[in-house]
Amino acid sequence: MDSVILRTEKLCKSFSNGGVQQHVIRNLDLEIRQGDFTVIMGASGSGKSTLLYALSGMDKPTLGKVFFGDAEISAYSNDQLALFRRVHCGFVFQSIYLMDNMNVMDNILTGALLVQKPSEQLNAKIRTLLEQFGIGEKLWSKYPNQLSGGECQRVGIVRAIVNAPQILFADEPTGSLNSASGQNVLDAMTEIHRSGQSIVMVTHDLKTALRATRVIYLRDGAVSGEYVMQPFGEDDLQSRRNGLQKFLDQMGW
Amino acid sequence: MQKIIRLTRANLRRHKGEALLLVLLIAFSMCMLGAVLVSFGEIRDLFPNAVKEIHGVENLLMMDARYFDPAYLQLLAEEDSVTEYGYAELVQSVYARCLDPEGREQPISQLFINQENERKLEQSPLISALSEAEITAMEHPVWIPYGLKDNFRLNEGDTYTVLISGRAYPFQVAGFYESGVYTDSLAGFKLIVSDADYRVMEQLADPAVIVWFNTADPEHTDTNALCSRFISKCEAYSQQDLNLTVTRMLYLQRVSDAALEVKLLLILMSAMTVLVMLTVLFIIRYRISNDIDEQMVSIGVLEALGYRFADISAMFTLEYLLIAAAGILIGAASAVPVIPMLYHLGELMSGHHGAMHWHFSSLLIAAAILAGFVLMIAWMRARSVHRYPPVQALRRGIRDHHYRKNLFPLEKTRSSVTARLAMNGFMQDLRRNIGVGLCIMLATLTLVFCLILTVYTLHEIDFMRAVTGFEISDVLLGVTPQTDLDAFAAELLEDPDVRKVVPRGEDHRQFRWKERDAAFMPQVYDDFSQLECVKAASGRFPQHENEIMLTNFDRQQYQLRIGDTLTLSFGEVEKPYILTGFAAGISSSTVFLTGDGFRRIDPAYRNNGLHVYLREGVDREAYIRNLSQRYGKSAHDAMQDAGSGAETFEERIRQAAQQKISAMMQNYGVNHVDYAITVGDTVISGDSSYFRLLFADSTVDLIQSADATLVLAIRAVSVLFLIAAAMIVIATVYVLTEASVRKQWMHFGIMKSMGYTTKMLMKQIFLRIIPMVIAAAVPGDLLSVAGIGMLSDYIGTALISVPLIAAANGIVLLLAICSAYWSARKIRAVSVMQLMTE
Repeated sequence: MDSVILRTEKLCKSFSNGGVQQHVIRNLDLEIRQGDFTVIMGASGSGKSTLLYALSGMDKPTLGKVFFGDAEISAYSNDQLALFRRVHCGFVFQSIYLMDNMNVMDNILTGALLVQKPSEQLNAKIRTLLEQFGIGEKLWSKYPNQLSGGECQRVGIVRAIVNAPQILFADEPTGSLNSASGQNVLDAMTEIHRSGQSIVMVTHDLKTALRATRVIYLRDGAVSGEYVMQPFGEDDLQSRRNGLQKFLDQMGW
Repeated sequence: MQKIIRLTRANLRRHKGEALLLVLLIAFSMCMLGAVLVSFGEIRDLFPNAVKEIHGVENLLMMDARYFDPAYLQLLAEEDSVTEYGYAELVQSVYARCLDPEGREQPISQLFINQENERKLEQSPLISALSEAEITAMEHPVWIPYGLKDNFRLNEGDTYTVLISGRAYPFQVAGFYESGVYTDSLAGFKLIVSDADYRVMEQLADPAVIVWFNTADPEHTDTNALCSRFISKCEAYSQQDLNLTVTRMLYLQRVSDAALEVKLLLILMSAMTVLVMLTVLFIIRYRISNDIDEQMVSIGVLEALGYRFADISAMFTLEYLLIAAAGILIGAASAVPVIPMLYHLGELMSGHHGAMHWHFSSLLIAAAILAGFVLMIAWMRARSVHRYPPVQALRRGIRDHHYRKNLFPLEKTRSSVTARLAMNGFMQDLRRNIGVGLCIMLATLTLVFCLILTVYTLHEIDFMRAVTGFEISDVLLGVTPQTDLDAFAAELLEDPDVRKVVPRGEDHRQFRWKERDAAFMPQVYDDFSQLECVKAASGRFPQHENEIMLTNFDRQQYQLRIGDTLTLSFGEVEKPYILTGFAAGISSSTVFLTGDGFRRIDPAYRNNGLHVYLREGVDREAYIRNLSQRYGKSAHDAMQDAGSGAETFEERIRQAAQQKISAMMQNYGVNHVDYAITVGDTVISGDSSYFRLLFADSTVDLIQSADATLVLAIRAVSVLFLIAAAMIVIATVYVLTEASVRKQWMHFGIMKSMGYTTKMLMKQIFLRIIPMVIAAAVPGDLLSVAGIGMLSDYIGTALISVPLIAAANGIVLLLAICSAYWSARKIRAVSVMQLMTE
């Protein structure tokens, strides 16, 4: 069994809205294992994204603990969390969030140079990654507004993995893309996972969830069920789909 | 309209800090502009109004009473342009002194006149808080002009002590009056005394006569030429040389002199107002551009909802009109106390009191000018929303595509990614940054200039030494004619307290330049290189007997050049002199020449005084007291010490004789006196060789009392400038930083998600702004150095001070850093959460 990379203990997260406390995550215990492609699913408002932010150190829990290995990241200061994200995490957003005043290379280098020293090797590595994800040389000096949504998201993925993070977080990465572009992005994510990358992804899309090795279903801020699959491509897609569909039906999806 | 107001209010709420700063800057502009427009016309007219209100005479010729003949008036009547004329008698004492509020002697020239003669010159009402009975009960009542009241802070009932002709004369201040003539410490103050006191003064000082005349058109009559003709006729009539005894006070010159300092103040304040206004307009322009960029999607949504371009433009314009309205109201309210203060400053500077009229229309004009400019800039900028039709706006505008060359690609990063990102950010807003840089440059220029002026004016005497163009030593000695000046100077120099002694010559009689009908007061030095305050702005000092130097001011007034030959007359003698240069400073109508140069026109001339320069830390008053002990009393002091210390009958006789001699030497220029008095069988004899000193004055005190108001005004305006410049630095940097943070809010969120810390992002903003501030400060420094250099050339003293320039730059940098930090703190609020939940 793979080692646990992320762990929560009685994780709670609540928000105050007009004086009314809203408990989004309730006493959640969860383990994310090294090398897993974990997908978090659930109905709207079930706390998927909130859990992702808490796991990734983007947000601090109201109660409970989050461990990265043995380190309790929920006790980190903001600067420590920034360092944690810088070194150990990569992010792929639904809205992509490329910086529109920077070209493709600069968007990637903005993150890369935080961890790695500027060098020709780094530039070459980025170029290789871009080629690998279907971003040809002619696009390297383009700005986000000159790229398609799918191209942008693939640049976003390269930006997220360029520092070889131990864990890649993705928040509905195909949510704003058309189906062809979404497919390309999912292929890219699958490819990354095959190379050994741990991924935690939030989605409400069945086709996206099919890429996972483990599906966690949230309901009212707590884990309501878990479904484990073979890595994508190692089993029959139809039976995989049926199995996951059945699990989700059981969960009331 | 309501929907526009609602959107405007929402916009204002979003930028509270910037809006507040803009309100403050506009309020400052309004206050200054309002003050300038309302009060300066009033201040400029203080003197002409004063003359008009008191029915004062316009042109005056003052002469020694011994040379006056009432028949001269008939000669004046022959002039066609003269409409009224007359004369009044008074007593003048150039060497009179008085006690200031601290009890120190002040060598201020005073003139005494009785009420009957005063009425011939001016019809000023005598104002007093005292009752008629209280004034009648006074033994020696004196009516003081407002100029002296302000200088000495006198009130009714105070004692005003005049030191003249051998003793102290305490007067009681009965009240005050407005005067058109003799209202400053250099020209002297005219005191109205009772008939009885006037008769006493006639015995002690010099009776003089003022011949006055008014013309039909005082603004356009060449009264100088008229005076010259009149004096020539009088000389022809009396067969006397009158030129040297007559002093002219002509209306246009008096108006110009009275307004000179006010003009300087007006120029400084107007420049400050323009500077602040330019900054405000730039910030507004910048803010609107930024707002439009920032709210591009919202603009698209509004357009999609059916708002017209005009509605959206009006929304932005209205926001700034509301800010301007708030600023204008606050500024107008703060101008209400500032205007009277400024007016009072004008009164102090001009020596005249007036009734200020509140021209509210001027405030309205100031408000209209400001509102007009704000409206124009805001509307012009807000109209740029036309360039963004809905679809384009919803795509965050075409401008968001950055097709420009990437000058600082991260691929070429060598060390700090933060610095690289900062440079990128700077280049992307280059045009705006240049504008901000211009504001910083102007603010630095102002700050350097004003800091130097403020610091220099803190040390009044150093400032006056630097700018007056007159030699200001520590002690000014007048010596009796029989004293060997060189030997005396050498003797004084042996005193370890004395650093330097420079012989000097001064004559109250004027040189005239007939071709231009101009008069110059002579300043005579044999070795100009010894002087510390008088400097040559161009050319060199005179070295030979046929050479003279005039002032910078005279060069401009008469369009003179080095090498020109001027034929000067002194009395009836005329001699050509070659102009060797121009003296720096703000003085005018002064001719510098050597003793030989003076003797060329007046063979009897000899140097009559010494400048004594004391070593650091030596007390001037103590030194003057020591002089009396070592060299006997000065003729002046001897006059004041009547009867003191004499014990025997012979001593009393000798003291009385010395007193008489001193009065003759002081008041009538007598060179030498021998006396022999027979008392019974005893003959008591002596001569005037007892006196070596005519007077010993602390020059510094004289200068300080004469020009304190000017220095105060310059300092006040400089401090105001400093505040304005500081506000500009704070406002521009704050607005720039705030706008950068807001514009990059999302980028910073993305960067935070990548692991950038708040400190790194703040550093990025700092690196984008602070180097620009430094870069902008450098040309500001260079411009200020050039400006100060020009001023230094004019006044002849290097005002450039590297430590002060460094201090001013330090202030700019500190303000910029504090302001940038204050504004950049908002980066802390950038939340990755917020970004992801958008």
